[in-house]
Amino acid sequence: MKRVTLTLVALLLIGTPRRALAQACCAGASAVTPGRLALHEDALVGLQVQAGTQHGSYDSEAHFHATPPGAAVWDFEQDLLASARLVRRGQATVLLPFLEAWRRAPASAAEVGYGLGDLNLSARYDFTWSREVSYLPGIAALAGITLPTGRAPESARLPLGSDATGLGTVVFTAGVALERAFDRVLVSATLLGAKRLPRNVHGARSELGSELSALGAVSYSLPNDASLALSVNGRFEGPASLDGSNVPGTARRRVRIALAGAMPLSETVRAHGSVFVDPPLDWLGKNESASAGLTMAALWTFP
Amino acid sequence: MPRIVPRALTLNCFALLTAATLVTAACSAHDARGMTPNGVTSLDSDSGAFRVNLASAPAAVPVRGKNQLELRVMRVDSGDGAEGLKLTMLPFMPAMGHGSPAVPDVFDRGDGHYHVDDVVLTMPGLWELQTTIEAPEHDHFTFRFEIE
Repeated sequence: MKRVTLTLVALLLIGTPRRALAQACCAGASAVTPGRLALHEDALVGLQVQAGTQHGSYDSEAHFHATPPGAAVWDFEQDLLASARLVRRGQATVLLPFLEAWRRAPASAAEVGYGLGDLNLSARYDFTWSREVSYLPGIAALAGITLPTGRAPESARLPLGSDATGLGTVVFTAGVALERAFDRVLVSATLLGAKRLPRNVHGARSELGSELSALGAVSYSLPNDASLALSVNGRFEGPASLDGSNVPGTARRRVRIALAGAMPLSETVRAHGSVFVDPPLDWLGKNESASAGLTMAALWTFP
Repeated sequence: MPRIVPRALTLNCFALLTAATLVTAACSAHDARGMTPNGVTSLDSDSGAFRVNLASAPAAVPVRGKNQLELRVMRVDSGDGAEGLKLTMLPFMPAMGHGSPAVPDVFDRGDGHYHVDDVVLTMPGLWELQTTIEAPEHDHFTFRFEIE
């Protein structure tokens, strides 16, 4: 589950905003998508760190339950990422996560697990940039693949699975991103579909449902090229199947709200940060954990 | 370290649960979709040949973390405890498409009593305890629990 979010993040990390056309577009977009290359940039490398805690979960009837006393989950993640422009309008990114988790449950002792996560490769191709064509938004195609380099849940060695760091299967993603700048305001939307390959779980053929993620964001660029953005991400997934049959009550959804900011530290270095929360409200989630946390990133770009 | 629950306490809990179950005469625990409703601790096997009651420790129903279960398996036609069955249990989280890092151990205590150790439910959400009777007959039953 986390790996699909990772894919979305990775896909959003790349792009080709056109500096000459809209400086506000670049600054605004980078608040939501930290790793996006500006038009004058050919590559970047970066480190993103994330810390979050689960404050509850949404059950199969879409009711929210706060984390019970005695239970706690803290997740930490460090992502190494690198982007490169392959063609004028297209670029690719590789993202390598490393995860740590601290978990405690009323019936189990606290434990710490860590490990390499699932490697993600993604690409973006911009057919049009924002304001390039007066009557069209910026339109980009997105594609990605996540490889099961992490440890699947069944392969975890700790009782609460803190050392499970991967989904255990290959994930293919494809989508479209739209954006339009209005003076200092950038409005963007991303739709992304994900398909997970079936896998064998203790002799059964398990396959997660197809997933659709929708992200909407509004960014505002400040005069110093810093920017702020508010985004809402909805993730919807169909029912899972077991041995070819859909399992009732297993569809999932989650809504995440984030406030992000970006600030250039020099001509080639910029910093990003965000806070996010899955609101503790019924019907906003189903069969999902609810988390809150923050991210920080530092990126070095190469013109 | 796993929490050790005194066997007497577990069996007392099981006895109370069994009595309550018999009073309520839960003949079939399957809902309209053919699935066991969440939280049910007494059900019939898929073939209808066995009735199974479940008691759990450290809580009345399974919780996040490591659990121990007591199963009482009875033959529906005679009401006798079903001895000598070979049971296997796999905890599975269908919405997440994954199982548990631990495979539970099942011990036959005689007279249809089965102790299941190492039932590890790693995260909140809907879990299934998919249980197969492998021998001498073949049957299947699944308990479902929403874990917070």
